[in-house]
Amino acid sequence: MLPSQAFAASGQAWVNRERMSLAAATGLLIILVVYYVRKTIRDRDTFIRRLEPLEYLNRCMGAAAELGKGVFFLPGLAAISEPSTISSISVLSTVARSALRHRVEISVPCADPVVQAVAANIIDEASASMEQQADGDMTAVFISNRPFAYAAGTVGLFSRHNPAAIFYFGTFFAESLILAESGGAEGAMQVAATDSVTQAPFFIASCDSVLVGEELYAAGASLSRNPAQVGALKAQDVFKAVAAGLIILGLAGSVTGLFDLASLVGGN
Amino acid sequence: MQIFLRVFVSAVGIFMLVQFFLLHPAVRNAAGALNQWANIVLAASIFLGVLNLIRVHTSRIAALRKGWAYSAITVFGICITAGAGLFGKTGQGGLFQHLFEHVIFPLEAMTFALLAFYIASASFRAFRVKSLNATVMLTAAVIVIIGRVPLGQLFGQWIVDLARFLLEYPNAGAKRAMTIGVGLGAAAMSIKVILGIERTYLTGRGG
Repeated sequence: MLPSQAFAASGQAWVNRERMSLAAATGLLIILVVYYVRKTIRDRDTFIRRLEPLEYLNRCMGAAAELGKGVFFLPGLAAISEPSTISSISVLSTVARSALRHRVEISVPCADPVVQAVAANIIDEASASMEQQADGDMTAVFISNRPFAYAAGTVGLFSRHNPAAIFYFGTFFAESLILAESGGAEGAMQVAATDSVTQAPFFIASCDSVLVGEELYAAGASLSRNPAQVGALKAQDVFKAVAAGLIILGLAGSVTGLFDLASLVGGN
Repeated sequence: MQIFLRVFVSAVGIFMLVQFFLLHPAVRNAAGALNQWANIVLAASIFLGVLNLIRVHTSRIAALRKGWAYSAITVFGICITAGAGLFGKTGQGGLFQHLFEHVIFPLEAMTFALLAFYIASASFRAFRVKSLNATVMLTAAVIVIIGRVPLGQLFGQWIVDLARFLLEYPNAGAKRAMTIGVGLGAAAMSIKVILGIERTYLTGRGG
């Protein structure tokens, strides 16, 4: 008997009932994203809050152009399949265009070969769209997939190239402080955005301007102002408000003892 | 080609999302196979990285650009390690294992050890009393540092309890808030990829 036939004969449910609340939340998020993307494309006047570090990023690019120095963009150590890396690549797309517009050399040391290939493609696309050639002998380069080897290699590049600014966007691990402190020691202006909860304090201590947590995912939309991206960001914020409301409701139910929201939605 | 890739990414993404909520063995097996393919593709991609590394560094050596000697050391290291792995013994006592245990491991340990000095310099800068926020952080840090070391108990149990309170309530609360935000942001980003709203990684253009 085939596994599928045995499964049908066992009379087991096809759907995992323990994950139904999660399915409902995912469904709600998809509905919100579709609704707000359509709304933003139609209206084009959706307000999103200014992110100060991204304004600072533009100032860094101007300063790099004035000083005649290059900039570094570090896309984190996670694989291309991670949402943080996809967000980082989205930011790189805008940063690469800005660098080319300011005629500033941009270098992207990568810890993942696929991320390196994608980053190289992003820079090539930006160069083609600006009808310019990216400067320098290294634009996107693979360093190492081992965190400390990556840190050592990248710090070496910092000291040899003496960049005007360094941008850290993505997931970082224990090497974050080595990178940020070394970049600071070179006198570079530094902007960081990370979803790594444990590394954010190190970036806050060492960098000039920092985006923490989910602000990393908002950075791409905030920089590009693409209506579809902005709409998705708006949907994310509405969903966050719903989640915050549920947390407060659950807390109130638990404190007063009137109801247990966690058991109602299938949690523990 | 771009449209085919976008449709393919969306189709696989929707399937992987839906399979998470299903129990049927046919769906589970298909999802397992897709996950295995993803792992194989990611593992094979390391060759891309090595080729890029060799291309960048050999071109720098050939042109005798600034820092070419570092490139020569890198290429030499790649050749020796690859040679030891391909043609030598990879188990205990082999050159490959020897390189790992006596070159790579100590170098990584040394880099990790440097963190202590970087933490000291970063802490010095972060804890300078120049604003109310910095003063609050310095006070909290001093309490936690004293409360978490055995010597701190000489000051009394109160400082140990206060340090535990700071870690378990304000600190844990802030960390959980960040974690929830990151989780929601990652979920929204994944849905943007699945729905084809975020495709910079395919096209190089935002949106």
